[in-house]
Amino acid sequence: MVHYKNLIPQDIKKASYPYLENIISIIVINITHVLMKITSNVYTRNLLIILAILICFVGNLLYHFTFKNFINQPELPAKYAAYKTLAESPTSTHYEIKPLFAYVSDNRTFSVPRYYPEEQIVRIYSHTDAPQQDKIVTCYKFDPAGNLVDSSTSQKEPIDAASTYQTLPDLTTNDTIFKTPNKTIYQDYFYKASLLLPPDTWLGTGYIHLIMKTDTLKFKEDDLFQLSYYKNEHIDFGLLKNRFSNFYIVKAKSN
Amino acid sequence: MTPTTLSFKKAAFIAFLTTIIYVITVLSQKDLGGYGGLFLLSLSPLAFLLVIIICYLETYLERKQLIAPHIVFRFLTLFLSLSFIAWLSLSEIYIGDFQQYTFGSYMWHFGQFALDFILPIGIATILISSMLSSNRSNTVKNQ
Repeated sequence: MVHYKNLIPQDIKKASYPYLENIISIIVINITHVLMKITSNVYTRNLLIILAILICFVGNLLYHFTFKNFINQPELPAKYAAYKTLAESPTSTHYEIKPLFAYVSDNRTFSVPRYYPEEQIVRIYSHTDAPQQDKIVTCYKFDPAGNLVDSSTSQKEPIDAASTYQTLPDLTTNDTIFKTPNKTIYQDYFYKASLLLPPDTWLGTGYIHLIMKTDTLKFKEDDLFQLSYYKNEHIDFGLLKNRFSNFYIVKAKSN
Repeated sequence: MTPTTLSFKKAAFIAFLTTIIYVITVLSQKDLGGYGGLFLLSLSPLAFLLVIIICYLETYLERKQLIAPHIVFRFLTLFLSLSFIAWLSLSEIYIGDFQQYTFGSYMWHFGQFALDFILPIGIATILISSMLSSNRSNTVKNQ
């Protein structure tokens, strides 16, 4: 049995400033003081301390799970529920979005589409992720109507002189352009899924409107900051590139 | 049974063994290759010092009759409090706010934390508490 009252004068030295040792002993004596009232058995006392830590631990886990694990946002409005993803080929009255390539193997990377004014052609290069000597570069050529004209393979990506082509203007290099309504492509609604960077950068689904002449194409897409839209005034189609670097073509319905 | 006093030699030996566990833990983390691992290895003198402080704190709390002089109690108190402190300071890396986890994925993330931190803390605290409980040196002195 420890007489805590007797401990106090020895342990708390009346120093002009608090030593760390004194602070610890004040805390310890206070805890002992409280626990002494409950039980005088050292084992029961220790068990209470262990239980207290355990309750704090489990409580902290449950607190995080129940109170910090949801997003306070209104339910998704009903009109957005019908929006299709790019892979589901959304359509409007006169336009449609379709995958540019029927099948793309995983180990291919695509270049940014380039427009060649002299030939009036859009080229996209793709190459396999193989060592330099095994690399196969495929060049796809599209006419202004959006039809595949020609594709050729070679071992090397040709180096174009800067004057012969222009990169199609990438309308959405970052997500800030989506947020300001813009005449061609903009985000109509955003539904949060999870916090990416505190305080206010979110991952989630963007509900996007893309305007082609008189039509508005509507689709949804996750992780918008990786979505790009390419278009210029010489071609009748648009190109979308998503986060898996799959290309989608936006053009007039074929029927 | 009650080590109300702790010789510095013993504390230093415990700290030495625990520092070895610390170094092994850092080296076994494959994704800590390069400068991250080197930085943590350079902190091993700090771990040594910390374990000595923990040993003295533990015996101090035993003297003040807050920790029972038994290996299980020593282990549980130390293990749970150190794990809790680790969780409070490091949970942000494993579990973010506003993520809408399911219970399963939440427990998976906690499991990752447990594998990375609670396991080494457990091994180290088993070592510390069992070494503190062994009073072979005392008996030798008494003989």
